Amino acid sequence: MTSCIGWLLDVSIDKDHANLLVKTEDGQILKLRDSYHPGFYVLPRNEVDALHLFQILSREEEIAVRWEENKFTNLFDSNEQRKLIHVQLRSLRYYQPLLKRLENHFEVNQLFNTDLLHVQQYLFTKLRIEPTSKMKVEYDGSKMLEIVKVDDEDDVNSPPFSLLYFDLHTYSGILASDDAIRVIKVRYEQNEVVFDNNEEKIILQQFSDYVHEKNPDIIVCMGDYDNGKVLRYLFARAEKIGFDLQLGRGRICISSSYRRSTYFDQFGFAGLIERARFGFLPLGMAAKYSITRLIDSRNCFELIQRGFVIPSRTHSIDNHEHIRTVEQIVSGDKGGMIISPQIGLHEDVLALDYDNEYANLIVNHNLSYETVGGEASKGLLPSIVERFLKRRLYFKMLQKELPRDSTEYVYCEQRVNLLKNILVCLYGSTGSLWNRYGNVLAFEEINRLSREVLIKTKDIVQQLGYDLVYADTDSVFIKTTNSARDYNDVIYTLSKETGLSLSVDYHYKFLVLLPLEADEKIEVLKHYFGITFDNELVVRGIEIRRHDIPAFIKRFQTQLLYALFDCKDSSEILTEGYENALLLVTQAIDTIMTGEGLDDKDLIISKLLRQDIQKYRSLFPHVSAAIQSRKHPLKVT
Amino acid sequence: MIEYIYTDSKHNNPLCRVVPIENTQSLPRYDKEKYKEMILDAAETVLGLLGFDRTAYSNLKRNNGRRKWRWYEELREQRVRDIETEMF
Repeated sequence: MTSCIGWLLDVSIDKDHANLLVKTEDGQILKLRDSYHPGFYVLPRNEVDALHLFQILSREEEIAVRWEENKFTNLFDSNEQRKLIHVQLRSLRYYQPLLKRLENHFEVNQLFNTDLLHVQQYLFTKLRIEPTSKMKVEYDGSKMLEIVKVDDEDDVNSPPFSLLYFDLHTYSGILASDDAIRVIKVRYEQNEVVFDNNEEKIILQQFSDYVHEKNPDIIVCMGDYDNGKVLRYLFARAEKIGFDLQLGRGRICISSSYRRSTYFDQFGFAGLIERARFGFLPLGMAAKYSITRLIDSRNCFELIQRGFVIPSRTHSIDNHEHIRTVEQIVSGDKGGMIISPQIGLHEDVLALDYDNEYANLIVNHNLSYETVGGEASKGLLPSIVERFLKRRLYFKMLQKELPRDSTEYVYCEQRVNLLKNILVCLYGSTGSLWNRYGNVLAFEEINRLSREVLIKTKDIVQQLGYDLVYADTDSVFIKTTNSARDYNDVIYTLSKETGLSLSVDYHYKFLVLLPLEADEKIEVLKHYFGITFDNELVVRGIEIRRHDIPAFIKRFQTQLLYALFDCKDSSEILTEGYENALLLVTQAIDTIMTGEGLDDKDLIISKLLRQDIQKYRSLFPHVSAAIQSRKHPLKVT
Repeated sequence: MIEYIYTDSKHNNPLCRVVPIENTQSLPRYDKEKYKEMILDAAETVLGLLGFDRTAYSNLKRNNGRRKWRWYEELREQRVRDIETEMF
């Protein structure tokens, strides 16, 4: 018997076994096997049927059946404990046929846990350790004997999994098995290699050799295609030209898009690790799963640990919407509250944000799918939210202590962002039809409480003699005409009265809240710019923030704002600041007309092509540019 | 991601209005009027509330200092040009 410490790289189910890949502390990869017997639960129609069904199933050699008392079958009725038949199969190959048989069996009322993937069943009911976690494992040969989680929850660094990026290009630019590979670009750590040859076999051979030599744990497919499609193409192409492509041991494959649309692109590798741990899913699945599926996976895991069985989605759909009158729907179906901005220039404005308001409301008020309407015991949603809220706060605090140029800072930021995404979506999916346990009433109740908080905030702010110039959901902009006052009293009172913590987002020396571009009488949300007392520009919804604006224009607008705000008070802005700004406008126009001092890159506009060129119906400027470009030639089909 | 610059934003043929920027290529001649309009747009966003009047800098006809219908005018002009191109 041997033991080691490592990280759970991957888990998969193969026939009658679970295969575990463990990356050890000394960089080795362990391939271990564990027994796995798929199973599900059966709720018979009545007691007579139950006895009969039990007898029938007991007779079958490949099945082990037993009674399971006290199983919770319905999240919305925690008193409802049922006696179920637990069916466990010796092998995976009997699973689907038996399931099909029982689904249509007249003595069966309902089946449970049949929606779960086998890898989920194994992770939720047997291993109970999140993929990518650190653990101590005891094994004998390839057989896993025991596995214990080692606490690495507070470690900001990602597990030491190695990544190899590759970018494959064909002659036609699309991935069809008739198109030959033109070039494969590979990046491993800091090294970049290009495999470029007239002979496709040589390219594949070089690529295969490189992968074997570097032996990465994770392969990242770059480009606009899903990693599955790229790999299918790669192997189909290899087969077509008679090349035996081998990429070695089991590796995780994930996608990275030029459009930065994958979860890996958005949240980085540390974010992906957080996803895997939250969803209790292998890394490859966590990289692909939508947020609702990820949340569903976590919900199922938590419920199974509490003695629940998981109904199929078709049986859960009833929870989502309730029969209500139109008046009830109209009064309940509202989102967050917005108090319209007071258009114009403001001085000395404090922007306050409620920290994780929705998550805190869920925890403080025990708001969950099943608790809305009176359940007293701690709900499913608050218990999940509380854990990951604490985790986010921990990393947020840690981030403040880390140097900005350190790798740890980047990992910390990725984790914080991913956890924010999860917390926001945990709230957002409470009423979602795609959520197995979704309940519109819970969603509406959270929104109602947030509106209550904002109204309370408005009242308190005004009672204390401040002006509320703008408020949007969980952030409020307040100002005072009395410059001698400080804002601590209002922050303290708001926090005390609402039971929620607030933080100062920005303290503006000057703030301009903008009207709608089309009509100056109509105020517009999230369109403002200002400068803080620390001389930091804060802008929302104007040219500087847009990606498709040339660098020259962004630079010009930034200078314009600094020139405008370089004043003592608002009356000076209207005279001196405005004059200085006009001078800058003239200078910028002169620069454009003469071209003097303009850099090559200053005028370039960058824009993402969000779909294939062929799908555009209008020749927008960026589409015209793409058609002319060599990178995106128009394909004639 | 596609990178381009405006070379002749009022050209009848949409394909001639912009030029993509490839890695090896040097910057082509740009449409000065188009970039001037962009400057004025950016200035109007910041200074509009303080009474900024873009017509003082622009050759465009006065439109009460507002961009309200400019997009529509541009779209209409472009459509007319496209029709003319098709007819030609």
